[in-house]
Amino acid sequence: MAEGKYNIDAVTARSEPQISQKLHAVGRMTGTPVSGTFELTSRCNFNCRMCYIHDDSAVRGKELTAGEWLDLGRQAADAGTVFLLLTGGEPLLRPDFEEIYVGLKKLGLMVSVNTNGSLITGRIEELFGNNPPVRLNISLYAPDNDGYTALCGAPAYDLVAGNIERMVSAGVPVKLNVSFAGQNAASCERLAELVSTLGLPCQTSVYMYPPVRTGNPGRNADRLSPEEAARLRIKWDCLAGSNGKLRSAAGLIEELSRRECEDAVPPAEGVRCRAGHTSYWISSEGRMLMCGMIPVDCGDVLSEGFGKCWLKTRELMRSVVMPAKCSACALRPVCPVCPAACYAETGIFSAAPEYLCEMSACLSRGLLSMDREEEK
Amino acid sequence: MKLSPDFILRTVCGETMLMPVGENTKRFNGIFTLSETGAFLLDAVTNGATQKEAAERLSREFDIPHDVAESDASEFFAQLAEYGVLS
Repeated sequence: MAEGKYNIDAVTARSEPQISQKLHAVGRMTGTPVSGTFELTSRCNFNCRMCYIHDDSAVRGKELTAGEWLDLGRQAADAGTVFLLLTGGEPLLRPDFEEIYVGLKKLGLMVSVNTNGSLITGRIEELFGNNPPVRLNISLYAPDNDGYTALCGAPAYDLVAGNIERMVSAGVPVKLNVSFAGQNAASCERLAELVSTLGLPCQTSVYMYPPVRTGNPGRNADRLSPEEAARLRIKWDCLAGSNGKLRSAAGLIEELSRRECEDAVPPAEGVRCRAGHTSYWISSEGRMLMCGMIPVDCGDVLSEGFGKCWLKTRELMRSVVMPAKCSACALRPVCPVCPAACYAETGIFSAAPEYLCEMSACLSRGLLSMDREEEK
Repeated sequence: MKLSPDFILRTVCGETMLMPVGENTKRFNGIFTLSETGAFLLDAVTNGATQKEAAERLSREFDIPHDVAESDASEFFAQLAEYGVLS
């Protein structure tokens, strides 16, 4: 792996613990829902412009109660769920978060939490310190309060940064999630420096799904253009010292292109999509989905039960066919295409997402160009 | 001996695992995976066998020399004791 300016522990598919890989591999054959996501609420105290959920309406009346979530947790554990992610919106907005969190952990589930980090104070800080999640994923949007205001509508950097430090001091396993949009792209290097200083594992995204819950396929006015996303991916990976894998992938693309071998589909690297095979998502309104980015309803868990909805989810995913263009595409080694991206960008599963086609082409060109520069 | 209330035993996809619960996750925030023989020993002691009896059963069930079974069982129970798995 090439050394970068900053030393960042980049979280990739290869970081996944062996037990998780093994459970998912076997689960795929047995149809076991090894991992799940409970979307406790679609409300959020931020208003991030590129967010996939972006629900401003007050929907508390439609949210599942704590008792309902715990019953679902029992059903999920009985069905074989081991890893459970609590997310939102902002899950800590729920006044009954502690009841849900503690109750789910008592079922023998390995619980992680996604949060924007702004509400980890008082009782929640104490809770996580004494009864930590297996991972606390905190989104880091910008390196300063102005950046937070521009992207999230709230000058929350000082608050979030302080909360991150307190969680780390309390021994809570924290992972940072950094997502890039138009409003924070210029802060790439400052964010890399900040992540490096914090010394925490970090997962970055340059690809923002369209806000799938509002039903506008392919539209996300606040995300980067495909070319900007590709340039930022390369920039971040160079800064972080994690560009070795991408450049290997680019090399593979070039070799395949030279050989003009249409049948040699590049092996997919990393984890294959697990949505509907070993993972599921339950929305804040109690609908099971294959994935949080695929708003295809797989059943009402409250009226139909977890087991029946899971069977439906699996069946629906089995019927999903990736676009033919993607199956034979030489850019697969660098393209993050998945059924969710196809659906979010085009409204159907079988059409290639042009945004990702462009982004991947730019990424490939950029990486190959870097190699040639270095050879000179 | 009983399984400590700070752990839950689960078998998923053929894997037998000890999952920490509650504030025990502050001490041990991961999954304790058990081999087939480990799961056998744990089952034996949590169903009334002494550690010595569990080792004897292990030797018979898996056709392992008695001294090897005793040594392996001893090491296993020491690990469980380190993490407070049994009470």
